[in-house]
Amino acid sequence: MPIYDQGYARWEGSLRRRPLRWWPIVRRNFPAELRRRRTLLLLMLAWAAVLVQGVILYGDLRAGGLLRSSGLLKGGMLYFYQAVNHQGPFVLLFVLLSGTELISRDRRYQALQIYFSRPLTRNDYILGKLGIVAAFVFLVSWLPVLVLWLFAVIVSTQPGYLASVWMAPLSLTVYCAVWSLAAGLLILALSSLARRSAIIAVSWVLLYGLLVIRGVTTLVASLTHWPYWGALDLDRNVKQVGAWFFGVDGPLDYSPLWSLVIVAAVVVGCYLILRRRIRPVEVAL
Amino acid sequence: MNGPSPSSRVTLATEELSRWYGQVIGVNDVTVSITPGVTGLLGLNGAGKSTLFKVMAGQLTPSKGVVRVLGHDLFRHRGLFRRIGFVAEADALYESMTGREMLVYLTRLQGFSRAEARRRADAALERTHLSDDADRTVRGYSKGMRQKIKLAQALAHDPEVFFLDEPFNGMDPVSRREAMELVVRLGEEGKTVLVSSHILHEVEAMTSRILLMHRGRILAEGDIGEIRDAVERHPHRIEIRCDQPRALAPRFIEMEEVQGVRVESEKILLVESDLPREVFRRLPHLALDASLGIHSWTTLDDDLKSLFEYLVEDGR
Repeated sequence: MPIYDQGYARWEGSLRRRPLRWWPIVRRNFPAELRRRRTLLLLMLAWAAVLVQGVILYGDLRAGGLLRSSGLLKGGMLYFYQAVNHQGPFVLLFVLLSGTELISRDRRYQALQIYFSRPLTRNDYILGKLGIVAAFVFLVSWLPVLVLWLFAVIVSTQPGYLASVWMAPLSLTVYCAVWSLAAGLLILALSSLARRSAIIAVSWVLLYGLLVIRGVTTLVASLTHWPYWGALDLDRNVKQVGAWFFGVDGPLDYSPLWSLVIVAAVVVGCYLILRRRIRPVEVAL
Repeated sequence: MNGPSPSSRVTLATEELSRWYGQVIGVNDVTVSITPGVTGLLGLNGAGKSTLFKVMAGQLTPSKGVVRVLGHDLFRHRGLFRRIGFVAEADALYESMTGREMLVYLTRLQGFSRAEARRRADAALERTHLSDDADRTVRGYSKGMRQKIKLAQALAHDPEVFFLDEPFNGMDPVSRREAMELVVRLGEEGKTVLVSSHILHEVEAMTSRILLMHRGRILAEGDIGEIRDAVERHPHRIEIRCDQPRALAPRFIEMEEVQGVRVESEKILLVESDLPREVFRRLPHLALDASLGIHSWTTLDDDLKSLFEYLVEDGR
């Protein structure tokens, strides 16, 4: 008998997906990573670095802007742009620590089928994993620099100071979001492609445009007088986009729009890799 | 027109379902309909039962055809997964978490609040007799405990349809019995349970409804008794280990129920019978004759492989 001739025990409940399905992934994994001793130690170092910046800023504000007038300290929006960039090494370290195993571990444990036997989509899964990386990026860059901004606004006696930096929190938020997206999706894509952490970490460092790549692109760009070699350096393109949000000059000699296009292309590329690689059951042909 | 009674209503169905991997066909044009209760999916290794299972559970997309769970196309409604409990054949577990942590986490992914997920996780641990070991890391779990925690995560959100892929593998006899009782209870509660296995008697202990798979197709579907009856038409082979097979052979030749007798070796006699029960009835009496030296007897056809061989033979 064809089955469409039979009655179904049809379920009449809601089939709509509930929002924030990805949240438990962040909620479970972020604190678990945060509880690790090495993470706490690095976090303290990251915040200590901002504390030092705060002390210098406080001294300068008390001394009537002595360091700024002598050019040793940048003022206005540029100060906060540089402050967040100073957190760069910590951001990169935390992306590596938190992101390397996020998907490779699930693949190793065959845990993807556990996720996808639940009402989670691939986008929920990616969002959850990205959320973990983004939480660390925000914790070591956005939050301390925001606190620094608040501190500066409170202690500054300079008239018009707030008016000159009022956009900083918004610029900071958008910059950190782009940073999380680019660095996070790249590490997730690599984590979905390889299983060994060392390979993922080295590939990420190379592709993100650090160390060798940065040296080579800088050298070639200066030798050829063609600045677009910088397109190969994702980290500096992210910083160029950030500079645009802060309204200051970036590290590359071409339009920040190009950098935005490059960053967007990397983000889309990584997303497509993730969509392709993340499957509940891996089929080997 | 009267509709079917609720108990006979289809909760799980496939329509012309096929799944192929490149040139290889895993599942070939399978149309089945399953009602609440326990249904066993049986097949030899490589029969395609894992593929069918994964497609029906929404883990693999079909190359062709439709899977309907509770009347809805599974691949069009992600929300349906809330109504599904899935036990994977592979050990898909987080080794570094405790059993309880993992269960709470996986239940939260179903959309429950933390408090509710904890409550449900505790109830599922209780039901699978894992409460005492819930706070140990999964890394230290035995194979049987791993199977239990997999069952617990499928139970915790109280789904209506269960897919249990070889759920008793590696369990000790006590755990196996407990787990099988749990599956039977789920069926009695009106849940739809599809359980795969390659061990016939294991499935028989839970249900009489089976789906037999062979080479990607459903070879037989329905009551296990009916399928066994079909097999009864074929002579069963009984292997008897004894000291004097040549002296024992005439005792069987005179039986009407025996179709053939063969001396396999100096110590083994093979008897073919279409009514093996009669042979088994006679064997204890013969064993009392010390001159024959009967040590043991076993049926060679009571396994799934033979069942398949007969059914395939019948189909030709």
